[in-house]
Amino acid sequence: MSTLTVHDLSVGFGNRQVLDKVNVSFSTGSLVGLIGPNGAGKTTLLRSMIGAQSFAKGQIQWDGSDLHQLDRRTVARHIAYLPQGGVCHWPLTVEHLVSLGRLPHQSPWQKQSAEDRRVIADAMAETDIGALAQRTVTTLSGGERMRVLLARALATSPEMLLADEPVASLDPYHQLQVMTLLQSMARRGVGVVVVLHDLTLAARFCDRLVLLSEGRVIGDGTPDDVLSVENLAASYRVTALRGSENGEPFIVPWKDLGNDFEREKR
Amino acid sequence: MSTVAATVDNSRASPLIGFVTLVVILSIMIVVLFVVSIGAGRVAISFQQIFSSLRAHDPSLMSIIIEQIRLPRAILAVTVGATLGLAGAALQGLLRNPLAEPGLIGVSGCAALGAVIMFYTGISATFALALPLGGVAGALIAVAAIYALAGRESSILTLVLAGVAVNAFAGALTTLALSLSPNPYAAFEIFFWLLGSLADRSLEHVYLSLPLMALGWVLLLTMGRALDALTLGEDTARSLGFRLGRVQAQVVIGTALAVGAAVAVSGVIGFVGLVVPHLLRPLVRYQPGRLLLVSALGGAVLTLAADIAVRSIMGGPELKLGVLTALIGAPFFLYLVIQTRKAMR
Repeated sequence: MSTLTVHDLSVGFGNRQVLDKVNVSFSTGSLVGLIGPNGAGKTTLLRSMIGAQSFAKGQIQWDGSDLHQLDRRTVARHIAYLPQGGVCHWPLTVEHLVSLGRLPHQSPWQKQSAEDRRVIADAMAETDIGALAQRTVTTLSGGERMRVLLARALATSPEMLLADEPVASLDPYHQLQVMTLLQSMARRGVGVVVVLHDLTLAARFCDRLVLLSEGRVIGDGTPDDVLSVENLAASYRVTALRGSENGEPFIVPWKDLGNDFEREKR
Repeated sequence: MSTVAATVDNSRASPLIGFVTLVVILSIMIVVLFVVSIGAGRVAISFQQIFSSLRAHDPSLMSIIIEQIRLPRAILAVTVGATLGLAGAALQGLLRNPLAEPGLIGVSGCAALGAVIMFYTGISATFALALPLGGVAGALIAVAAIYALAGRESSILTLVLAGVAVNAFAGALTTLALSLSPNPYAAFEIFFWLLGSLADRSLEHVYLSLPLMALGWVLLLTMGRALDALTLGEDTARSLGFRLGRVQAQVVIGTALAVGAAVAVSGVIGFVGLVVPHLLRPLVRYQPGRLLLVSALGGAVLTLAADIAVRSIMGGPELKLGVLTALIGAPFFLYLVIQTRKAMR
């Protein structure tokens, strides 16, 4: 089992403190939901964990060694990143886009090996995009595009996947499909950290939730513990309806606590 | 699965031509046009004469024309053209912007300014390499400025505006140098040189520029995978194991070396770096990495062809090569802008 550990991480943009002494660790084999209101620092935390964010204080370790001391390609083989928004600047074919996931495994002039081709085919089968292989990315729907980008991340065969709002632009069907896929990856031993805004998806699918609010971790544990009435009020400033269906929880944001709550807090 | 994909695929048809085939075709075109280029001009030279004179080194008039006038011109058409095509493709890959072109964003203009300063101050008279080095220094400043002004996730608009600014500044300083020139004949010389031409160059020009250009080519041609990764944005490229700072530096320095040296011997030949990558991109299925080599070859083809054309189409004084590429390239640029506007809607 491998672990990605964040020690006392503080990140500031100008005067604004985005992350404030964050301590959290993620292990392979579990699906962790990273939740919190807009601007809580979720994306900044993910970007720090792939070395894309410089930070003033703190340390990030992969299996005990400092991430910044490790060879970049080695890190790239262990940790895959799926950014928000699904950027693709040129109209590549789906197959070529997915094959980019193999770059950390290839030396500069090396051609695709049989292993590369197998992993790419598996990733495309798993995300159900085999039929799209020769399409250009620009002709795809939002759901198809997200699955293609996810397949790219799978093709890296990472031990850890950091996915930033992968279901944000998807319809309910594709949201469930992507969450099921992430869950099955975790069951196979991959560590998955996923940023979510949908609390039901977070409660139902994740093994553990980390709740960020104003740059601090204010909840870390089972979905039941983290999604407490107090935590939701303190971070999102909402109340929620709760229930369960066949033993699986759902949680629906119901009322904003708005200004009354702010006043009471003072 | 690929067989399933082939039958289900309903997007636009995939290109019928493979990467290797494309490289071979472009290479053959270069060889053919190279020979035609040596043969074309006021004095028509047959293929037999070209080959026999190159082999025998006899001191006839014919072989003097070939070795001292036609051969350097054809070689420079290949090297300068390849440089412009390659630099265009590399800059477009780095900035993820199809309108990035050495001439358009002011790199060629600044390279010209660097060379003009060397010329004007007389440094180029003291040692020959000063001219291409001046070009490289000018180009380096321009690429760095463009990257600072419009790098990262820049929009097409910011890039073009930054290019306009850099171009205007380089143009103003070049004009200043021209107007302060004590010798009107020298100013006239510089003015014509700025228009971009490969006429009346010697093998000396080839020796001066080729090493710097070749170094630039190596730096740019090895960037393929990084540029492929950048398609998915800077963060993803980083997460795929690329050092962004190094990638940026390598493209900037490679472009400056190649374009700076090219402009120093040929003047400003615009739009090759815009037209060539745009035409070839669909043939490599939009892969920025593969576009590098084919754009280099395509740039050589276009420049050779254009340089043959300027010698063939007019009876009077020879049309400047840079003028011809601008005449073809500017409407093409306009067309690209209209296309981009349509795509944005």
